[in-house]
Amino acid sequence: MPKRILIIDDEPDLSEIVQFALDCFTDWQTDVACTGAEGLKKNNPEPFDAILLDVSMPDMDGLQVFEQLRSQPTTQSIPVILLTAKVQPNDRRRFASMDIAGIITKPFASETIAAEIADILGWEI
Amino acid sequence: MALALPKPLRHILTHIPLRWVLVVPFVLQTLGAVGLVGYLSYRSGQRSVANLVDQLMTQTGRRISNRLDAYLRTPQDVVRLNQLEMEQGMLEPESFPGIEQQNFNHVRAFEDLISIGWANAQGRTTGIGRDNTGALATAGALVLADETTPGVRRFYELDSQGNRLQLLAKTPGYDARQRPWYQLAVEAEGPIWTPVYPFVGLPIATINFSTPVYRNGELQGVFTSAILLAEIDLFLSELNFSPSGKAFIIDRSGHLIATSTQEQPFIMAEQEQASTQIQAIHSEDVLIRSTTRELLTVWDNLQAIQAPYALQLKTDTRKNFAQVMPYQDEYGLDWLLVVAVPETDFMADIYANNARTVLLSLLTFLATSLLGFWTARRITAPVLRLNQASLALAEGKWQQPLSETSSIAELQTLTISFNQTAKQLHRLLERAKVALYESEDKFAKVFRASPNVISITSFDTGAYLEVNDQFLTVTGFSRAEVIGKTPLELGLLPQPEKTVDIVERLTSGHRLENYELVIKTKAGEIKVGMLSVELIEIEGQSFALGVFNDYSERKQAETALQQSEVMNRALVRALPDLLIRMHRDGTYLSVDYSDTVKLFNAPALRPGADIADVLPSSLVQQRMAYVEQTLITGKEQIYEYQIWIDGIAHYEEARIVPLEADEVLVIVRDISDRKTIEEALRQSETRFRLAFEDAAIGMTLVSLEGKFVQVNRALCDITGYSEAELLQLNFQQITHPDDLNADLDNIQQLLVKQSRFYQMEKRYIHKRGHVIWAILSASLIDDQNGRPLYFVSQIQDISDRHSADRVKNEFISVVSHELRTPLTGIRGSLGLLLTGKFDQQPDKFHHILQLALKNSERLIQLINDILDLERLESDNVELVKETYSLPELLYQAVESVQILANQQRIILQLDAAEVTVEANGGAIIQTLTNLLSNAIKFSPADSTIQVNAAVIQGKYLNAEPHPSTPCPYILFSVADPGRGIPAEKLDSIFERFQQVDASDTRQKGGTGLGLAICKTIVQQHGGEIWVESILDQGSTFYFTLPA
Repeated sequence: MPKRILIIDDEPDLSEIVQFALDCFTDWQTDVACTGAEGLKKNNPEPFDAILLDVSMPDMDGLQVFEQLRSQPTTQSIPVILLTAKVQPNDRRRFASMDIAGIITKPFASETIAAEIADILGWEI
Repeated sequence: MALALPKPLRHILTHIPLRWVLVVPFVLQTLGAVGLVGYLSYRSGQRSVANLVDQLMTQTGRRISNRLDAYLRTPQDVVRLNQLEMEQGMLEPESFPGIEQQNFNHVRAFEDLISIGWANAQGRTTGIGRDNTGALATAGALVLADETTPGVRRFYELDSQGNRLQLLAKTPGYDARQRPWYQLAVEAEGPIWTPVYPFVGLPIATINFSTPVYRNGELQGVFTSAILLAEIDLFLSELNFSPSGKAFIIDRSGHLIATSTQEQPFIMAEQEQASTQIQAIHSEDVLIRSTTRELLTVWDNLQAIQAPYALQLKTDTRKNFAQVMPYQDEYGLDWLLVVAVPETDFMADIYANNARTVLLSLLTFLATSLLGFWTARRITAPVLRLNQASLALAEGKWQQPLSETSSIAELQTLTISFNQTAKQLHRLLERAKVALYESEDKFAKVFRASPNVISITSFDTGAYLEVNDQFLTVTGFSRAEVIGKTPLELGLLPQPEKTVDIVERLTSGHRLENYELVIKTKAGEIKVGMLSVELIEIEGQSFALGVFNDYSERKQAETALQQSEVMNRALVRALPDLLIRMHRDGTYLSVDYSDTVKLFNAPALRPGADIADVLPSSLVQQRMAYVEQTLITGKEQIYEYQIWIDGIAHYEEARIVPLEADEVLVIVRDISDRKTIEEALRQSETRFRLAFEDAAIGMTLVSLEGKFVQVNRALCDITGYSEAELLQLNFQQITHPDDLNADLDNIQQLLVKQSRFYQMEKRYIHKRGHVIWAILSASLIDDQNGRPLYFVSQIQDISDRHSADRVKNEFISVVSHELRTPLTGIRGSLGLLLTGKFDQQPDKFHHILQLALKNSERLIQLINDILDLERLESDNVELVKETYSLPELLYQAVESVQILANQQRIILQLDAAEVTVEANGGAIIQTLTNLLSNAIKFSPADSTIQVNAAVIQGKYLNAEPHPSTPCPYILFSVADPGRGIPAEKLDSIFERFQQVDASDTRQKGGTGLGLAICKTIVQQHGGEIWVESILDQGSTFYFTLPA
């Protein structure tokens, strides 16, 4: 059974690039959501194995999505990797206090992102 | 100017007795009122009568006229009826029995009808008439006149069926064709009234109504009907409209037709032709005669009267009223109806009344006059009594009180008042007498008890007549020793020659005042004093009243005083003050000062000087005011003033102390040194106070407990509290809780002297509840002994800086994020391509390359926008403005987006006012381009976008919010039929990186800075930008530029 991973990002270009990269280097099943609400919906009824989550999104930002995920029994243990362009020290401090699997900063290296995610999650490529 | 009257007349006019004043006007008024009422009632009666007579005559005239109408109607009707029947063939001209029957029927039917007859063209006649006079038959019988046999005329009496009863008379025939009634009718060829003529053979005046009858234009004969004027006379006589009034009828020639006196209108002769008609002016009746004559006098020709006419005339001495009324008809009847009435018929009663009225008026006048006399007597009698009593009182003759009973309330009150006044006067007089006795008694007591030496001597002999007790005390003599002796005899005067001097002075002047005299007492003691003597004349004898004022003791006191003065003077010399004793009027009585005192106008400063000659006028006024104040209140007054002495400004303090009723002591001290120090201190204080008050940063003195003791305006502005409010607070209450401990720690450091001052960034809570960021610098002030007094704190508001920093950080964060996003796209795309995984998949390769390109474009656009915005917002950049044509600007903007619009088949509709605008063309085109691109992006294909620019002269009513740009301004608008903008985003979309939908950046392109740039440009032009939108219907972006 291949791993299922969900990319939530309001920038379709970026989601597409991540999807391309993961498709190229892994056999994981990828799915894309453009908003936080859509992402949460896609975890129902069957939660994903991991979520790549953009932080800066309108309406419901990544942190709110994360809280929602953590508040639901079915999604509270899904490993979440933040995919963010927020690199200010105060942002970093905030992320550090969160129960996340890891952070990948934008811009990321698309050629190695699959390996990086696998490394964070402890998955095989 | 007063009128100069001869003296006797003036005397009379100014001494009119009260009785005449009351009676004369009363009588005159009564006379006037009675006379006027009588006259008015008489006049009114006359007018009423005139109106009544007028109405009566008009009515009578009308009655006559109506009666005539009725009376004359019947013959006309009957004759015309016969005429018609004959013309229509129902009667035949030759069929006399038929005509006779017809005539009989008519006479039976109409009681008013006197006669009806027919004469044919051959002269044969038949006629029936009423014999009312009984000339032929019994009175009232119907008589037939038959002349059907030519040459014979037969008269028959008829029964009620019309049968001939008996032949009454047989006369030779008369040819009807010769009669006036026949001839006139034939001449007229139609119906006609004949003139009045006497009936054949009878003393009866008649007139006839006749009409000819024609058949086929050929005369068949004449029908006629006569009426008796006597009938009209009868009617007129029965009118009875006034006791002696007359009614009569005349024709236009003035002949009588009928009268109420039933006068025969003809003078009958044997021969009918000789009968003459009577002229009204020859009537037997004087009123008819006079009236007709008056009418002729007025009108000359009676033909001229065409309308009713009223007139007044006199017969003998009586006045008459008359009225004439024309009476005419279409068949030639033309009469005048006249009614005449003597005035006496109506006025008799009124004249009788007049006599009664005059009698009553006279009686009324007599009665009221008598009443007036009586009333005047009642009023004047008590007044005269009062008058006499007053005169007596004035002459001092006191009488018994006047009787207070009077029927007139006011006079009674007056009498009571007079009695009371008289009583009071009497009492006052009695009291005055007592007072005189008491005064004499007092004088005697004063004389005896006076502390002065008083004596009365005979001026002739010089012997003492009376002396007082003090005289005896001072001289040491007993009264028995003194009385009857002269001063010389007593040895009282050690300088006898003075006696001569005193007598001479008294002889020449009658009095002596303050004459210094030395006397020797019985014991030989010498006393000095002042003698004043007054000469008194009592019953022809001269007496000298002498008063000797012994001042031997006062002399001693004066000596002591002089010694005291010396002391005082020494004291004054030792003081640094100028002392002036001054009179209320400003005269210096004495001046004292030490040598050290600096004097203003020293030469003038001496006793006897006037203050106005010493001091400048402004100071004079000031000092005199204070002097007055001192004397009024009796209290010391102190004031300060500046005075220039030898070119140097001095300050002096004047202290004014009351001495006598009109005297004060002015103590002047130079206080220049004190003033200088005070002024320096005051200036210093002012400087510091201003420095504190007006400091740009908050300053405060805080007690050791933290209470605000003094605060400046800046601190009030910073915290939002008023000064009064802050002084009720301590700093702990307005410090942010999170910063309080740090602040208290710092204070502790100051108190234990570990530091001299501290500075910290801290937060205060504004009165409205928001946080204020501030830098606090505080230090502790100690007293001379090193004990802490209070803190001095300076508080600088740095909220703006904080806010700016925060905004800047946020911006950097956002920009960082926004820049990283496209960069991630580029980096990610290129990274993927580099893996070589897509080398064999040209479609995907190309797609990824497109992604990289798209993101690169986005990045470039973003960088450009950020730079644009920064450049625009930089204060250093001034927009260069030039004059542009409005349509040109719009055209250029539209042109730059035309291709974009074409792709979507969107029509851009443009409407611009033909005006110019001062603006930076590039910037405005950029604004319009941005708005247009947005509009195109969000409009559906095949739609229309409206671009307008118009000059708004007045307030723009439809736009919300109303722009605050002053009118006139240019209003640009870009309206799209797009999806619209939610209300909550209408404002925020003009902020940076704020888009209606975050996915717009990706789907529609754009950096999220376009509207922010537009806003900046518009604001820099002094305009405003806003949007109005309805969801799913479209949005309109507006912006204004000053015109």
